[in-house]
Amino acid sequence: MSNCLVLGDFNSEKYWKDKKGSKLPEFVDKDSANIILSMDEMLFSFCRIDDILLTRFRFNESLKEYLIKLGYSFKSNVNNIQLTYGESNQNIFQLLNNDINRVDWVIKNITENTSIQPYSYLPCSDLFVQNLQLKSKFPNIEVIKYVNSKVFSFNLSRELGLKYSGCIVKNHSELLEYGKKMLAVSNIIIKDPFGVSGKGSISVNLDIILDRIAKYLKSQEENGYNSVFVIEELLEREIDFSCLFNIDIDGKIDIQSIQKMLNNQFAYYGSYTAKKDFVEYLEKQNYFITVENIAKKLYQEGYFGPVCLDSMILKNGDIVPIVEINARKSMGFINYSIDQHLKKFNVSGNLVSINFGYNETNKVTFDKILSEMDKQGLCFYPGLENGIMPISANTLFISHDLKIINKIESNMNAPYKGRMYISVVSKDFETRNILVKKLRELLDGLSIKVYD
Amino acid sequence: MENKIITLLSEIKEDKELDKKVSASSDIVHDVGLDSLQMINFFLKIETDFGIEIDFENFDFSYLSSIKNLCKFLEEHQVKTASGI
Repeated sequence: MSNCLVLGDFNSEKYWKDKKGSKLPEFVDKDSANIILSMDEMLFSFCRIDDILLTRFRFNESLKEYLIKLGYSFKSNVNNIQLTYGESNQNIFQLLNNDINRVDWVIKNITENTSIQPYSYLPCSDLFVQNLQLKSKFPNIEVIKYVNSKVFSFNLSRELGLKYSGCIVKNHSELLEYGKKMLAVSNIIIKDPFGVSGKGSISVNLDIILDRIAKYLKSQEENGYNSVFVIEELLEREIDFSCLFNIDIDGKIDIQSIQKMLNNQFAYYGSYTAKKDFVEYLEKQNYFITVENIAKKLYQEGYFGPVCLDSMILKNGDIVPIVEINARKSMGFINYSIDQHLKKFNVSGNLVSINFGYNETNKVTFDKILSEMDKQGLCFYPGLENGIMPISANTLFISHDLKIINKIESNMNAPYKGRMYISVVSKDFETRNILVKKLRELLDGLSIKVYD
Repeated sequence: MENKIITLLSEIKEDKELDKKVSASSDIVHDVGLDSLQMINFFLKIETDFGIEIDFENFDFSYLSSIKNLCKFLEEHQVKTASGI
């Protein structure tokens, strides 16, 4: 039986964006950037027996021991692949291409039948496959960039007749001209072609804010940067959901799951698998016919692989099938994969993220948190109906471990930020909320400040 | 000014009860819990309401360690803007 090499970067859009493309105003939050770098440990959810998981920072031993008790089994690197803070700007394929000796044991564990299962296809993924002499085939990187752009999503929506009002602007003057016309009717959202959840899009309700954004873009354009943005009417969302599907190399489409999303404004908070009645409702509304048309179009463009199609239902009941097309894996895929595993125990989970802050003086370890969770009977184990399954460890304290220089220079007392990803196994939302509350109290007892 | 900041934060967070949960010493990122997108919208509103322009890329995050510190930054900024510095 062939095994898989599983690896990836969760900030794919950063590597797809045109380096000379202008940006919307944003603050650089290094804590969040570090957390994203260490999210690759959640890729264990895609591993089967004998698969090899490569993570930027070595996989936490306690988490691995816990996952083994739940029936997971995979090989992982015991040393960090990223060795210096400066290497944060390189994707994992670039790091490995530079020095495959950082994971020389991988070479001993792969065969001619080993395939690669990346979170997303990135620049240098193909070189990595060549270097390891694997047979996996990828779509062309230019195709990947093209279909992942919000501009493609916008144009495809229009082509399929699905779109609310909006347009593409190619400089600050067009942004002002079209933005103000649209603002006269409703609030708008400006999207970077490669923005991601919580970043790269700004909602605007006033002309004066639009003026300021245009001014910000103008100064970049004067320095040789190119502007391309999508402006859309800001719609009144009721339900966010995503459709997960796969397109194989021959174009066969496999719709896998509908995931409902928990969002905090535009930022991702969690996922859960939609109930049967919701899927049936979508079926009646011919949603899946649209999904198939989108998949066919993606394949015609030269893409094959995983797709997470973000969709929404508006307050007026209308379905908007394309909010954005993510031609890659996603948090929804992780939740789906974990649920597939949990099926063995006749339970399912909700993927939830918990953000918190901690100081140098009160930093604890993941091992300590896991041990406290065990003591309080919070952890999920086979045979239980309820419980919390921790699914990340490095995301908790990575900012401290990487020692962010500018924070220490500017404010010694500023807390570090961390994030814990969990799958909450429960029969209902009420039990889920009780379990999350108990975990928050546990963290609070360890002097970790949980944010709302 | 502190009240004005708390009102703006309430609008951004869509939380009318926020004034009961935060004080002048609250950390804007961590206690109020603004994510990166909310942060941009918050600062764009500050620029509009206070008539100033912020250098996003070089902004010192330590001013966000309390509402009081942010007010101090804004007062200094307003003085600089008024005197054309």
